[in-house]
Amino acid sequence: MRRWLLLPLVWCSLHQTAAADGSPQDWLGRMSQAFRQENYQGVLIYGDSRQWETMAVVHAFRDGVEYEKLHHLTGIPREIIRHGDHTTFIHPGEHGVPLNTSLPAPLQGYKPSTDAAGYYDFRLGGVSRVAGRYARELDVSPRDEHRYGYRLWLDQQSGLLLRSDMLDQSQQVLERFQFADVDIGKNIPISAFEPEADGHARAQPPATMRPDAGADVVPGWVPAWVPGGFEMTAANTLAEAGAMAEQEKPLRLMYSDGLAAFTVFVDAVPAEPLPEMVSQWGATAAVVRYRQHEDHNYRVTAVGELPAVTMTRIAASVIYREKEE
Amino acid sequence: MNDRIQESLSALVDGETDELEVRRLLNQLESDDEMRACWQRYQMIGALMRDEPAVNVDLSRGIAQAIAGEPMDDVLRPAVVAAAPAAGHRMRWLASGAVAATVTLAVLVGVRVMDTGNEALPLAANESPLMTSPALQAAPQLVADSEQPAVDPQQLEEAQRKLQEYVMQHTEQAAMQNGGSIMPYARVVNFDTVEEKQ
Repeated sequence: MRRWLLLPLVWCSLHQTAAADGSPQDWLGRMSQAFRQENYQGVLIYGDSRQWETMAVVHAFRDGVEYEKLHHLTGIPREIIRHGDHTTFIHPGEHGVPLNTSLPAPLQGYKPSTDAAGYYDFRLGGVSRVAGRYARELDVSPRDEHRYGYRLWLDQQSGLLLRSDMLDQSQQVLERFQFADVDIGKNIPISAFEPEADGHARAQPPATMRPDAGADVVPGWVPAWVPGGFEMTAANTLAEAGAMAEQEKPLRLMYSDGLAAFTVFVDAVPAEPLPEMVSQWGATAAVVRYRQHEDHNYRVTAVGELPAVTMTRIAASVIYREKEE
Repeated sequence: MNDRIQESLSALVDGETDELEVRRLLNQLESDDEMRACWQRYQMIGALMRDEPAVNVDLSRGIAQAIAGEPMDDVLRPAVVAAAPAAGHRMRWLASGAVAATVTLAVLVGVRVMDTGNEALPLAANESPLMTSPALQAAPQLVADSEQPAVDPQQLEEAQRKLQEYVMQHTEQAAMQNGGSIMPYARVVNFDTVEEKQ
């Protein structure tokens, strides 16, 4: 019996010596790269204190193209499959795709090129086991109240994110993402990315609006206030089917601080008053506000993984700024 | 894998299965890879939910051997060590081949997962105040900030649809920033859970 207990400890210490012990930023870079370029296959648990979902995840990188499939194991069968840039949603029935709730995305806005160091503290922790593998802990704590923190567990060998807890100001876990079981670095056949289920309707990608071709614009509508460290990463006008007057085209502004991201949408709406709204589920908050400009009514929608108070402040600050000629 | 088998598996996991059924399931586990994978997942998920070390050891073989009255393989030992240190003496019951005890052991060492529904999960103990807000209980419910004049339900529905589309777009964009990973979609794609009720 004793033998069994000691074996992993020995292996662990050997392994620790072998693994490069870089800076927190090195680890984040490895994480980001592993997400894109590793082959991995496993079972994920996503959830919060209310609800857990499990899903099978398989990812491969071949000839510069990513293949990825998320297949839900709980609830109604549904899948998301990606080949390169093309994403397909598969679910039963013809109904739309209502949104949920409690499911997080690990560090969804993380960009290795962005310097988040001024707004977060990074601290490497110890080694513990996740999904049967040895993982290095990395604490990411925000320096102000406008963003959430993370506790990450990164695979010693590959850097792959094995577990992520998203934490609010009081260190409560808002959302958790965790592999229950994972194989990393094995060869995965392309057939693994075929849909699992037969006879299910294939949904179109749900975003019906696409950016205008080459439509990076200087926006007229901008938030007058965003938390420190957030930079605009994209600005598009969106064209729905049919031609629209320039002023009526919805505007979409993306912001990121290197880790967290939010998006501001502005579109023209009919004159009738609708309630202004704040909605929050898990780590995501959405705020709707209305503005008037030159006899038009506009709807401002801010969506992001930031505290609701911060999202509300951002949405409330949106103003029309005359374009400088 | 059909629903009937999944039901039987969860009954086995719950320890609510009679001896014949246990034998039948174990035979199937032996030959059916998919079912075996499912069984292993149930075991691991159960362990994870209780914040125990998840041990990738299949208990079914040990149970089968116990039923057959054969000596236990060593393979079961690390699982018991890791998941339930106090279960050592129960190992001897198991080796004696009593089926009832076998199934009890399966429950004790952590293959019970289906009945965790209303128990406090590890996270529930330190539930965030944010989580208790009614607005969080469902998908983007539109919650009016303050008293507002009555609104045409159709308009409200349209506003809701738009908000969902915007959340989806936000997710899509964030996914693209993250090297195109579809991981962020795990957050938003869900379906009417009413249909799940059995």
